[in-house]
Amino acid sequence: MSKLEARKAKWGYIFLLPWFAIFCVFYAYPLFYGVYVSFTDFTLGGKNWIGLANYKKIFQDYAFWRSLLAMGTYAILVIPLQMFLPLWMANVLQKHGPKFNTVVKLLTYLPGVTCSVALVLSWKFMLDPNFGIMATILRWCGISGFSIFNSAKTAIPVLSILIVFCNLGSNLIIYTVALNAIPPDFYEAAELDGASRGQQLRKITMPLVRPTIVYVLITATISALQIFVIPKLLTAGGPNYTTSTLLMQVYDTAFSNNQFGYASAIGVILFVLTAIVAVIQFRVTRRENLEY
Amino acid sequence: MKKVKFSITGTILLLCLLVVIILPFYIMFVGAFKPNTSLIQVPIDLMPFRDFTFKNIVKIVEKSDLLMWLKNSFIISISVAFSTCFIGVTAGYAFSKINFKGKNILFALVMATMIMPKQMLLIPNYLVAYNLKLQDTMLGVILTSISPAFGVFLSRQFISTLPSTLFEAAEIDGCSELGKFFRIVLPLSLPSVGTIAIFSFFATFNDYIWQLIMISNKKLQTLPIGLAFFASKSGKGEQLALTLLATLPLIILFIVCQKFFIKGATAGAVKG
Repeated sequence: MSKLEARKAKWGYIFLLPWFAIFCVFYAYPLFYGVYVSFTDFTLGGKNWIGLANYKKIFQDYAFWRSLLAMGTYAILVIPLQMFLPLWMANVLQKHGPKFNTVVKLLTYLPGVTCSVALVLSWKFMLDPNFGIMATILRWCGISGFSIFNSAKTAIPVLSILIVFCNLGSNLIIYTVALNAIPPDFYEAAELDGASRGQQLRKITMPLVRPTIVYVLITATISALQIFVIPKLLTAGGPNYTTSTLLMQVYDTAFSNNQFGYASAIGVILFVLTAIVAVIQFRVTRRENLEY
Repeated sequence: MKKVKFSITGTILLLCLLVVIILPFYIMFVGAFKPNTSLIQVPIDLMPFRDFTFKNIVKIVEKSDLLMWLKNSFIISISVAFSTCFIGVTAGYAFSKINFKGKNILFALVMATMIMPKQMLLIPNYLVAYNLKLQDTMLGVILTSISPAFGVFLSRQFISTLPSTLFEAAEIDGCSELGKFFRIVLPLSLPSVGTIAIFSFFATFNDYIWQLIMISNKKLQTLPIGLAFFASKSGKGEQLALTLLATLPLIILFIVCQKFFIKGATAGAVKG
């Protein structure tokens, strides 16, 4: 390497410094520190090394397994909805003019840019068992005093839909861009060859937006592992942890029970789950590089 | 070109979905101007302007700390947006235009942090801030809220589209490394800086979890924290008035900055 190149390389490191500092102090170091803390009985008062005791405790922890199950249920509902609802919307919007498109996109994006606490308060009001819109509709059907949040069977689907709404706008934009990138002559050629709407969808649209669908699948899966705000504010995980998630468990064990060591152990498990999804993502996206 | 007919059933279903999405906003607008009594009756009264009253709004402005919450939220979000841009442009420049050893490994770290959200590191991040005596300070919230990857990733993508000849020409003219950064990189990457700033501003403003764990001092409460706290001890009308006042500034900002959202949302998803 010449002298000039060496001097330039030095500037490369200098420009990286701010990023590297933040990365080390608030990402890399906490990662290792969290693993260390998970082997202790850390409280804000002090800590002792207790080895694998926290992990053994997890195996017998009802709240942990119930939350894991609930998280899985959210994932099963949220991920397909996040993948295909915005794709369907983008497909319908394609046949409309630019003005209608802009308005629909703006309105769909609104929940995504609204403070989730405010949004949840409004939803809570709508879904109130005694006075809300929901209660009024149910009263017409002859049911009264029914609360959807009393049972996980009704609570999880409703919470899942609310979670999907919060991300609908950005996914809609992603799909619109992907659909617009398909050259229109593909469809014109297909039409000349007598291909039906359904055939066009199956043979042209789906294969070409596949990489985008995979991308949304992965981001949706990872965000499904981080579900927190909406169940936290609407049900607080109840009744009996049936609507709780792992991240909510992490928060509660640490900040309500002051068991930072145990909370870190749950955090490590959450991290491992996310890492597995991330590794799969790397493999899949490398294969999915479709060019057109 | 032939005009394509749109599907009527699809459009109707789309509009129905839209109504459900918009409903909470409608309720905020209508409910904020209704007396408490019309909000707790069955059937519910959602006609706009019936029993119109400003009482809720007045009560919120007088009784709650709305202005302080807004101020704190703005300070924190603007600081996070600024820091994310700073980190993003400097590192993005290094990753796209400078050759140095270990570049690929370091960028792999950026990609890894981009994929793996920081929330999993909730507890250790809190403990780091605690050990640095940053818990319950604005700086603590700001530093834990910064996303270490988003800005870097977007900037790198953008700066790598700038022609290398530009930098070579500047070098021949005797421009220093810092000069290149301030005279070429910074002014030319303003469009992507805008996207990064807007995105991290909104993400921080509406975030709940980091503010929830970092703040316990009432003087530092931000909008989401104050909102959740206030809602638990007030009537329906006041709650809805507060949510309206908390949501409105951001909706206006969003409509003004809408074009940035398309760029930010598609970062990483679609090849530019």
